[in-house]
Amino acid sequence: QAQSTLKIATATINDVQHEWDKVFAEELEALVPGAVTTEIYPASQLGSIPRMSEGVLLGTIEAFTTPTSFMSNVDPRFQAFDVPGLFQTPEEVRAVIHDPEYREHLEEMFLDKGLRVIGAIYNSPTVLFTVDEVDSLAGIEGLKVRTFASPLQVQPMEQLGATPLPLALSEVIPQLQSGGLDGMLVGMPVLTAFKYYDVGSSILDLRFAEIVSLTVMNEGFFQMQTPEVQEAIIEAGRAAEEQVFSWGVENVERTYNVWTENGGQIHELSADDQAEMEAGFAEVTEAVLSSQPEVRAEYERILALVEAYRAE
Amino acid sequence: MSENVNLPAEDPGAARPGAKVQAWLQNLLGLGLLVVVAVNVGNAGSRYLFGVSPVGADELMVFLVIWVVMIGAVLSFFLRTHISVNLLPLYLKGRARLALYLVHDAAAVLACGYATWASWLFIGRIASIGVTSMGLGVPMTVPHAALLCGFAGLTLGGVVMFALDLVRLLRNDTGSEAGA
Amino acid sequence: MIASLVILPLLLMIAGTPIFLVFLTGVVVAMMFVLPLQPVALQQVLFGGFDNYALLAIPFFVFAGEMMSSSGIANRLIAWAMAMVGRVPGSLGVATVASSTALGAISGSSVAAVGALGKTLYPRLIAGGYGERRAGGLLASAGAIDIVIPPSIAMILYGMSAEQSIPQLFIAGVLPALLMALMLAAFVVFDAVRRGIPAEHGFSLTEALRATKKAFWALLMPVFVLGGIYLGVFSPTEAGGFACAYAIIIALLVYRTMSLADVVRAAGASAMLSAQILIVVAAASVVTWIMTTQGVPQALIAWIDAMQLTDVTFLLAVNLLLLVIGAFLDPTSAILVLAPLLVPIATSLGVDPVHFGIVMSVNLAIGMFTPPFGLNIFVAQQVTGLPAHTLYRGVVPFVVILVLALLIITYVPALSLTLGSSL
Ligand code: NA
Ligand code: NA
Repeated sequence: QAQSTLKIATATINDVQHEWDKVFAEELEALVPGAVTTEIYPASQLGSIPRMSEGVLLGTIEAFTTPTSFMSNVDPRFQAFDVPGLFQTPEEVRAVIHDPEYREHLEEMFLDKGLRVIGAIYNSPTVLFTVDEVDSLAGIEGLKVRTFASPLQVQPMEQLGATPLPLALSEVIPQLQSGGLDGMLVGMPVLTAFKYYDVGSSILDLRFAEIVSLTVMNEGFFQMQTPEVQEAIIEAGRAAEEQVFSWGVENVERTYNVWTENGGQIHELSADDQAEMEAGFAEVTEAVLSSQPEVRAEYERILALVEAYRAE
Repeated sequence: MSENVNLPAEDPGAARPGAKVQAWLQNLLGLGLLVVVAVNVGNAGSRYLFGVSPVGADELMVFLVIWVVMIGAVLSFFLRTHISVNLLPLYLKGRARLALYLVHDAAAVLACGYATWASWLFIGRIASIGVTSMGLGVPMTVPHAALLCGFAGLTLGGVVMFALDLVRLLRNDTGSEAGA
Repeated sequence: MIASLVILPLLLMIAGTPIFLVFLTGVVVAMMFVLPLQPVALQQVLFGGFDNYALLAIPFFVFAGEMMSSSGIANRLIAWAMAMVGRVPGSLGVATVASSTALGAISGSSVAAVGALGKTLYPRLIAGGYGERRAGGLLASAGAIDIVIPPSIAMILYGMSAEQSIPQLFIAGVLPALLMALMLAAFVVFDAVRRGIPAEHGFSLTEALRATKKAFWALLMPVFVLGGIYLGVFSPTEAGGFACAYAIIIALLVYRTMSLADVVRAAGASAMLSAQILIVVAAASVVTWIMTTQGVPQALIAWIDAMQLTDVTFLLAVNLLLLVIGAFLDPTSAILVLAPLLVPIATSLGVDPVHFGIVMSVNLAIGMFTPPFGLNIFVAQQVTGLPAHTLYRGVVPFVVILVLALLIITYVPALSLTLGSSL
């Protein structure tokens, strides 16, 4: 049968996204040997995040592994995974993405945009990195914080009295050093991979969201494959995330250790502050969701699964 | 400011009637660049003074620069001031140089014609998907259209210059090129 | 693929075709006949080549340079530098190196430094008896210091793709950049003695004070911009914008050397030069993208891997590879493609990744002015009006000097690492 090439791109390297890509390639090769050549391009080798996102939409890149928040300009429903307070543990993420019925829905929910989800990955918790030590809600007030340009990152930061700044990643470290920026909302592994402990030493573990990464595939490419290969792509994706889940969880733990080994501190909010923040975020979330019914529908579907899991 | 590096002493090709258009366009590009500088200074200034940063200022600057670059590229093509290894054209005179110009013009028609087509296809696809930019939320067709217009202009430029250079070559009219 | 991506572009380049068309034609022919790529990929990757916040620094620093020279700021700065180094033979050349280093500490793109200095200094170097070749070569090569002295766009990109700390890279670049500047200055002095080029003036304190007073606002510009970056007012790209704004204010209100219409005209000229540079960057990004997806860098890495190198021979091999690549590619593309691939090999051989970043940056800085493709050469060409062949010959001694500096920087890691560890 005709051999095809599958380019998978991602912005990071040596993290759970990259790991998923590698395991997926092995699984796929084992299922349909020689049918697909998978090429992995980590560390934004094929361009910036917006370019990779366009690339997979247009089929110049066959697949793209990314946190959901970077796809919200393609379809607002990607935001459903970022709602503050939705996920509190990695296991909750796993319970949702591996729920058989939800899984099928998730894989096909963006087909109208020409995208098929072939992988769903627990990435890491979102923490607030700051140059100066911050351990309370009062400390966040007035800080200039880098966020993604997603309403569910921008508005919660505004709610806490911080100034959210969606900046290019290349500007973040110079700005942190120069005082143009006081901190950033970020996944823990990014902090250690890019050695942020050289710039600042404090993180505030806000415990308000877990980053979920998806691998989206161009549906045109998928449809060009034989039924056997299509089946294998779906299988390999599901198998890969089973395998990397614990790797990812351990990697997050490792990064917490690397952080403290390099002199970094990890703070948590007091119980009162945590409750106040969660109440505030709930209001913000409500406002965002009520303006976007399709996001709300998706969110509620996920929430029901999380609650069912918590009840178990 | 007399020592404009981008203008050859003898203005070839589009020549005199084009000089006004050229000066006008170049000032327009200058104004574009000044707007980018103003956005940059205003953005940084408001961030430090008031702690307020308009979302998408970076994008606005990048998108404006892309438009400036594409228009500037078309203008530079007509003026033959693009960056090149100009060893051979400098040594060759008359018809031989015109023959080289024909090669440049043909390359522009081929490469930029294809790029225009690719750009057209691309814009059609993202328009139907409805992708918007991350910061400003404008349709991505807006910045991408700069490349479409620029490459279309370069293709057209290639065709016009090819015709002019060919006519000169056939008439053995190399006088106007002597000082270029 | 070789025919469309190597032979055809080479022929077009020799024929004097605009460089962006050289790249683009090669890519288009490959896409039409050889590579199974969708046409839309071309648009997407070209756009990606432009869509980079860091690249904004290029038009900003081109414009700031244009403003510096047309407003007289640069002349006052250079007069000041000359009053300071007056006693040395070849003082004008030394002042060129010194001015370039100072400008490099403001800007992250060496293209801007070459543009700014070339306009002011080239006529004076010619008048000073340096000759077209030496003057052009000096201008094209002195700009390379700019890539190594912080702030550096190349290092920001390296830090991002190799996952290294950008502040550490910045600090690590200081001593190597000063070494490059010293070696260039030493060569200029030696050359001046050999060719009998005298010192421009003897040093006089009154003259130095007068030049300092006359250059007060001009001197404040680097202080303002540099201080702005280091004391926490703005990032390198913002610094570029502020440098423009500062120069506009000085020219319009303080020196009153330009009218508003002059400023618009200067901006127009800068926009044109920036367009000519950035369209090449975008076209080069497509070549890089095709090379990446065709596995060219990986093949090179496999080749290096197969040779069973030690750290010493690996660094030598990397230097050779990067000098060759630097002859054809711009540092931005080269770093983005090669750093993620080379750094793991380097660290596995015990090479410090920060030191390695400096080695890469110095290599690619040299590539900025090695023939046939080097943005500094093209800018020097634009600014001096010299033909390419004069510049190609002019840069030769400076390539030799800076390759010597590169070897010292490569094999004395302490040069890159001491300053960072002492802080
Ligand atoms: Na610099
Ligand atoms: Na070069």
